Amino acid sequence: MSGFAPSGDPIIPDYGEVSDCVTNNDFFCTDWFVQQWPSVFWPALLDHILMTVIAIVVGFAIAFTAALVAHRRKWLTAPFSMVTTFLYTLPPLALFQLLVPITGLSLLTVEIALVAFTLVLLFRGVLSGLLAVPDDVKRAARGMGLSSQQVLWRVEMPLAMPSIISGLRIATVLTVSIATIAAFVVDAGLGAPILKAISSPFNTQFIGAGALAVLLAFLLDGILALTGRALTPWTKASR
Amino acid sequence: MTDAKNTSTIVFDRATKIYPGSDAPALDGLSIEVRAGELVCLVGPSGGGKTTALQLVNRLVDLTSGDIRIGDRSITDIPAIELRRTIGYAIQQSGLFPHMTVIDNIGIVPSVLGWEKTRVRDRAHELLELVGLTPVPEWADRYPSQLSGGQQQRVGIARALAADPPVMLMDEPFGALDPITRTTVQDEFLHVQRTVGKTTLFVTHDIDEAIKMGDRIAILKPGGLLAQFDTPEKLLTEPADDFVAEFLGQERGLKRLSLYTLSDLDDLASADATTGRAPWPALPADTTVRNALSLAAAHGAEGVRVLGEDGSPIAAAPLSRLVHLQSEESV
Amino acid sequence: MRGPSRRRLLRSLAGMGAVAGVGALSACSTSALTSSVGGARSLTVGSKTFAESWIMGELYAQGLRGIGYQVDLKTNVGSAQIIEQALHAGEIDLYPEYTGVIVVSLAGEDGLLESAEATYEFARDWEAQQGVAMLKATPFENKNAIAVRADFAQEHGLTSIEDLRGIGDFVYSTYPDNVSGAQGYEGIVESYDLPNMKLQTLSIGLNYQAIERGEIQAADVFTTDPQLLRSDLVVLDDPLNLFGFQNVVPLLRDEVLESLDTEAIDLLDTINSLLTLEAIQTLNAASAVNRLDPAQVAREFLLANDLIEG
Repeated sequence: MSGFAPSGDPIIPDYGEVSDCVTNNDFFCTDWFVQQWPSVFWPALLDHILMTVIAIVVGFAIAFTAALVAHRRKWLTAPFSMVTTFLYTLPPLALFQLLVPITGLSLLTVEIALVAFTLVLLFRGVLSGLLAVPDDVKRAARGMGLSSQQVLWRVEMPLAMPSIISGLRIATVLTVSIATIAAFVVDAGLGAPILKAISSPFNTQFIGAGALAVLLAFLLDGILALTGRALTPWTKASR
Repeated sequence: MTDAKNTSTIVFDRATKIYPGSDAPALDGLSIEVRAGELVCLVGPSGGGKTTALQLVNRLVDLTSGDIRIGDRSITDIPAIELRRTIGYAIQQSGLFPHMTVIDNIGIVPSVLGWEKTRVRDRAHELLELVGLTPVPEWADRYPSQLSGGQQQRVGIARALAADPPVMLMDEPFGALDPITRTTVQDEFLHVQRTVGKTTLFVTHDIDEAIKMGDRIAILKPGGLLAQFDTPEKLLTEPADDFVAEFLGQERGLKRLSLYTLSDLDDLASADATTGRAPWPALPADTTVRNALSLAAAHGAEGVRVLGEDGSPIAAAPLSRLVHLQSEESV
Repeated sequence: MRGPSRRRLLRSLAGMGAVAGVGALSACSTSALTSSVGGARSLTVGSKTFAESWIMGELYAQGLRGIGYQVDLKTNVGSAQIIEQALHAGEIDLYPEYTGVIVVSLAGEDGLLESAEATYEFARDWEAQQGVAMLKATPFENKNAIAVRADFAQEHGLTSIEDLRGIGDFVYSTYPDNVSGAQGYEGIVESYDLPNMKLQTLSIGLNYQAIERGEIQAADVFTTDPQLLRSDLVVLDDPLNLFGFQNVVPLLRDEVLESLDTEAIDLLDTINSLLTLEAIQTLNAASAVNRLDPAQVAREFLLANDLIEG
């Protein structure tokens, strides 16, 4: 059986004119960027947001629980700290390489790595916030007859909020940044156009995607900052 | 405001506390009874166990042996957390919750006890007026960081009173305040106490504060032993032993004089019966005898004159009367 | 904010977050993050690390989705050996490969084969031993070639590589990894007996500028380079078939082939049959010159040829 089918007669589409800006690979070709927005940049941005949010939510759930446990059993603080710090120091690409044989070229691999990088920041944010609660406040709370749970949730947690928000902000900005590397594993997120634009360098593509990543980081940071302020009205109070 | 004064006795029955890891007791067999509505000050040097005694009452620290009863009930009869909700607790740094408004701080125990929101708010308003933070709307929604130290302590006291507990524990509540503020807040609290009349255990290291505030004073000495438990007058005139005498210090004579005012001196001579070169200073009748003595010394006078309600001198008290208090005839 | 109302805000934020999360995840169906759950009519297609491979991967993936398959496309899987391992490991089910690469890099066969068909058959038989099947091949080949400027060719009467023998010294460029080896500079010099061919190494992509500027006379090119669509370059014939044969075939494990219905197989064959040299060069140009996304390039082609619905 021949491996070659009779050659078809393809209709070759006309892909249109190329602007000088693109041909000359100028710094940023706005027309091209706008044209590519719906098919390339907007989906990449959405995927990037999704990857980031999943990582932060999962990372926070883990770190928060760990911090509560370490708050109760102080001896666990050091081991938890060491593990989360170790995960943070792993070079992202190396971690991806370690995970791919186990979890494949999938979103799961990406999320495991992204979550790993958030843990130390979130763990420290929660725990140091709890530890910074003044002793006299805790003593008064206990002495007045609040149970340990009540002291934790009505007193310690709200007072730890500024530190928690601070940790969340740093972790989120970091995650937006590292998620660009996810393009090495999964063709998604803002790293994908960047990666594709590197091999045959095309400035607009990676500058556009890169700028979007920076803007996204600022936006998420700003949202968290505003949320933090709404949740901590007493920090704004002035004499 | 409750009509009947909700207040109980506190009885220490050979209460002893030995902290783990040490041989000597922090509190050794304390047995005293605080009457309902009485303000008893616990004083003594550090190591005397006064803070321990206080913390035993609301079970922040547990008894090694002996018992403590509030009213008829032993403090071990109900779980510690429930017990604490029935005891007003005020501490030195006030421990106000920074993230809650003044109103929310005051209402914390009532809301934990499940009072309905309007009742909590009304109670908080009532207490703000009691401690003198008026007009209430100006203070209700402030945060502790917006209050001075003295104002914070007042909120702390209001908070301790919020659930109308039968007894109050106060752990050096005015210790962190500057002297002027401290005097003001002490006076405020005495006014509150006259109105509310709660049985109060008040720990302080300042003997002058104890003399000013306390109906009776318990002096604890190192080793957690009770040295003396008496009224300020008795303490100052009849110290039980050398320790108490030394603790009260050489100024105890003068301290005693601060318990009386010029209006307590009867059978005084007329205002023109002055002697010596220096004119005698004219002082209001509510000046303490101690201050009168001090002012006489300041002017180099041999006595002071007492001002009447119309502002003119009505009597004269020579130094001998200021020192002896009672007239020679009645001795 | 009072305690109770702050708690309410937190609760509603959490609720909104959860709804948003679930909503986003389920709305994910068109994003690149959907992975096929595996099951009948679902497939994972892989592609290598350069544009032509990305485009072919997209052609297969979008074509199959058009007939109802759930396809997960994994790009940048790796070079020949790596993507082969991925196929065997089940990380991917199908990917486009060059017949010559199968013969030389995967099977390790040294000898030259005589024709495109012979190369195809050798590759097919070898893959069959690995439990891998091959579908029909593309008309186009992407292999190395030597190109010269059209005026240079006319001046020296050049139509094939042999003709270079008599023209005196000239400069040839190729990328640094391609100096030795049978298809590299040294192999060409030896096989075609071209002592007059001098070497300048240049990175891939710089050869076209160099030849335009006259710095070099002959350049190593890939036959599907979009630059070759321009009329001022001529690709010289390779009578010795030194550069082998490099048609593209879809590779898939035997059991995957069995699970595909005839509609899917016909579709893949049809797509391949439409990929003439001119077609693939245009698709590559759309990617390299117009800077369009491979997904878009593939989509336009499939639409124009009625293989998917708009």
